[in-house]
Order: sequence, then structure tokens, then C-alpha cells
Amino acid sequence: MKPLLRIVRESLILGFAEMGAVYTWRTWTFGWLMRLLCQATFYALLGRYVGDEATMRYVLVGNIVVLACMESTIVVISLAGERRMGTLPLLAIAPSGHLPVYLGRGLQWTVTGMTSSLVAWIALPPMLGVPLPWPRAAYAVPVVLLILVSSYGYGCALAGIALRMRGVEWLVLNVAYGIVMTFGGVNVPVEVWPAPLEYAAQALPVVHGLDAVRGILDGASPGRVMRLLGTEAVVGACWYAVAALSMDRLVSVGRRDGSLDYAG
Amino acid sequence: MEPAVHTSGLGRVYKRGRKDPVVALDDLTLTIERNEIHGLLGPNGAGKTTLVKILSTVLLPSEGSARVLGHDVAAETRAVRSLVGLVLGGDRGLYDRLSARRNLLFWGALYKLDARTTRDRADALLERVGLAERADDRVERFSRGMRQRLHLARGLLHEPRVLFLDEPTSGLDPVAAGAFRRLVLDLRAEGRTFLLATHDMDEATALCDRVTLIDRGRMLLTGDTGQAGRFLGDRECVDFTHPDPALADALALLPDVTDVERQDGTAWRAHTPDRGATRRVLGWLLDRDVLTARRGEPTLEEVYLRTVGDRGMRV
Repeated sequence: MKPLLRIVRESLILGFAEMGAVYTWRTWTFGWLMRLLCQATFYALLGRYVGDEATMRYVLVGNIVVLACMESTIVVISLAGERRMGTLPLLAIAPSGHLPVYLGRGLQWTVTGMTSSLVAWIALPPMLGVPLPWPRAAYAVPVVLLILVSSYGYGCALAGIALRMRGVEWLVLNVAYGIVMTFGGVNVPVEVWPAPLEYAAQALPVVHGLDAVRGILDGASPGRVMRLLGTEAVVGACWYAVAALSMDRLVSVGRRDGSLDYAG
Repeated sequence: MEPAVHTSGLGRVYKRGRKDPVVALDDLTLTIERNEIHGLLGPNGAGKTTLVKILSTVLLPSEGSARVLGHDVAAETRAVRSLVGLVLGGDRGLYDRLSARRNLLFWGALYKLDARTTRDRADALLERVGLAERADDRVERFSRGMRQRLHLARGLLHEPRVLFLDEPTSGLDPVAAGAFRRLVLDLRAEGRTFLLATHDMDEATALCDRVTLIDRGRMLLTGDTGQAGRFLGDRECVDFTHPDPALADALALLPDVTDVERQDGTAWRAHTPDRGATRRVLGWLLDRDVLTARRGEPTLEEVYLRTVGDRGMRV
């Protein structure tokens, strides 16, 4: 097996083992997943209450898709844990280099994020009486995967902050997710916000991918959908670049100022 | 042949915002030969961990240079990292939710070992450190001693030629600490070099060929462990047994004696400034029918206490 794949595999095993400290499959399914489904349902019903069926579908689709982002950004917590466990400097001096393992430390959340979003995609629309244009709606699934990947990069980039400032990981996670939820076109279109915020929102993950999902459901031209997917991929790649630079700098600065501490 | 470790004028200063910077290492020049177990002694905050961090490439020096097997730790990090193993003391540095074997497989992937080699080495190391029967138990269920042995196994996984042990037996019970030390001696017999940072003098005496004592980042003394007493100049001592404390009190008043301390029950140790004084003290004791008296040298612990003993609990 290729070295990188082995790191990914071992990181996944570690990630799921750590997840096991918080959840069993039963508590994840009937606790966490149910909570996510309830959240998406709540916002969808709120959409119907303040608007109409179209508003409800808009909000429901947004809230289903954003679940992938919500879970994959939990990588912030996993990465911050490396400092607490005293493994951060050991990872930094590993011959494989620190990037593969830093970027791989929250991969379990991508698996659970995809699962949550898929379950919601299949279960919630019929349950809430929101018709989706099947089989065309199935094309949205790989788009959700792309959104998941770009959101994971966003989480990794923000994890750099949590690794530098101890004890802020939950704040960073919630602010990061809250920003996407608020400004990312999940419940209201991005165009609603003042121009500066609208421009800034273009740099968020989810925004363009979610537009593509809605485009697929509304029968938009393949060219427009592909453009949106390309933009989502570029945004995701930029967040990975930020993450890589941030973690490189974390290690290089840590070696200079002594902040790579193995005492936790 | 290049020594295992060589530092030259090594310094490290920690800047602390508006507070005064802390000098953790100051002009440290040290050589550790290959296949040596070298003890790095000093109180808390002496600079031991800073030196281990620099040598294992976790930290950059502020001044001077350090080389491991001829490779500069600042400029040739990749080469150094493949040659050294870092073994931490305490509970940190392991993944509690993984089994011992899984921890080693994880680190094997990071050390770029292929899957078969990692599995084989993990099995062999777990057997060697006595964890084979608990290989598939989660580390969170391990005792301190078991964790420590797993730390060592992790540090050995990529077969490093130089190992840095940072207080590896702190908090271990005497049996576990003894087993750990035997393991280190076995590994030295295979040609490995060790730098052992500790403030356990018994450990240093039992394991180390040479020791270096540092305090406040400066080297105070370095030399062979077996001749530690010479670190205190010509100081010598006389060990004797006598049931009457009045004799010890009388001895303490002699000009040839710097002080007398009770060792255990009827055992005493009188410190003398030089060999002539020792000879006179031995004669004085024999004249008073002391049956057991012999010349000795200060132990490493005495050297340590006399050298940094004024610090008390300050760090």
C-alpha cells in the first residue's frame, strides 16, 4: 500500500477509535443523526411558515447539504486534540512530514458527514412532502461529496487557529460553521447580504456547490452546473492551500518559538 | 568518526512578550560518543528538555550548533529525524483510544515503513518490552509502566541509532523502573547511543557511562559517572559504623572534617577536603576502636546536591 494511503487508513482507524469514546453506533444514529435531521426539519418548516412550498424546498435542500460541511469541520476538534495529547511535536518530526497526518486527522468526520447528508437527502424530502425530481436528484450526491471535501479543507485551515490558541477549538468550530450557515446561502440567498458580505461569502465552501445542487434540481444547464462545481473545487483547493500554509507555519514558528510543546 | 552527538556553544532563549526572555540553554558544548549512555542531569527548568527538543529537531537553537551523527539538527532535519528516536516520559504522546499494536502501526506509517515491516517490528518490539499479551488492549487501560514501555517501543520502531529519553522512568515503581533500565542496557549492547535526561541519580548511576550536570542552561560539569566524586575536586569521604552518635559529634569538630552525616542507623559518612585529611580521620577512628571504616568518594547524588542543592524548590 502506498505510504500516503497507509497514513489515511491509520488516521481513519484512529479517528473512528476516538469517535468511539463519544458515540456508539446507536448513540450516533439515534442521538447525533436524529439531532441533525431535526435541525434540517426545523429550518424547513420555518421556511414553510414564513414563505411557501418553494421556500421550504430551498431551505430544506440548503440544510441537508450543509450537514456535510457541519460534520467535516469537526476536524478542528480532532486536530486541536493533538496538542492536548502531546503528540503534536511527534507528528511534526515524523519522517513522512506533518501535512499528510494533519490533513488526515479528521477524515472520520467526512464519512459521518456524507452519511448524515445522504440519510437526510433520502428521508426528509418525502417525509416533509417536498418532491424532488428523481432520478435527476441523484446527481446531487457527488456534488455533496465535493462540498464535503471543500468544507474539510475549510475546517483544516481553521484548525490552524485552534492549534495556535489553546482552548478555543469549540469556539472556532461553531463560528466557522455558523458563518457558513448564515452567509453561505443555506437559508437565505447570498445576494440578500450587503455587497461586501456577498463578495466575501464567495470564498466560503458550500456556497457554489449548493448553488449547483439547486441548479440540478431546477434543471439548470450542464454548463452552469459545471461552472459552479469548478468554482466550489477552486474554493476548496484554496482552503487546502491555506491549511497547508498554516500548518507549515505552525511547525516552523513552533520550532523557532518553542510552542511545539509535548507537555500538552 | 563523527560522535553520536556534538553541540558547540549551543544556546536557546525563549522570548516571552514584554517579560524578560528566559535563557534555557547557554553556551553548551557537549560531546556524546557512539554507543554511550549519557546522563543529562539537572533540576526542573535546568534546560534538559530544551536540549532534547533541539537534538530531536522539535526546537531550533538560538545560537551555536548541534550535530547528530554528523548531521546539523537545524539544516539537515530530514536526515536527523530518521536517525533519532524520541522517548517521552509520562502519559502524553500516545493515542489512548488505540491499542498498543495499533499505536505502533500508526507511527510505522508515519515513519514510512512498509506494512509488513511495521507489523513485524511492532510484534517484535511488543514482545521485547513485555507487552505482547496486552498488544490489543487500548492504551487507556495501561499502567504508567506499560505506557512507558510502549513509548520506548514507539521510539525504536524505525530503528534509530540515537535515542533521546526524556525522564523515561518518572513516576514508575522501582520494579518497572528496573525493568526499563535493563531494557536500555540491552539496547545499548546492540550499538545504540542514549541521551538520558533525568533527575533520578540512582538511574543515572545505574545506567550512564558519563553524565553532564546542567543548571539554568549552563553546563556545570561533565565526566565519567564512576568518577563522579572527582567533580567535587579533592573532596573525599570516610564511611564508618559506630553505635554512639557522640563519636560522630566529636569527629565533626576536627579541622580535617567538613561535615558528618548519618547514612543509616549506625552508619556514618564524614566528608574531608583532601586525601591527607582522609588518612588522619581514618587513624583517628581506628584509635577509638571503630571496627569498620573505609575511604570513599562522594556519590553522584552528593555531587548533585552539593552543586545545585542551593536551589531548593525554585525552578
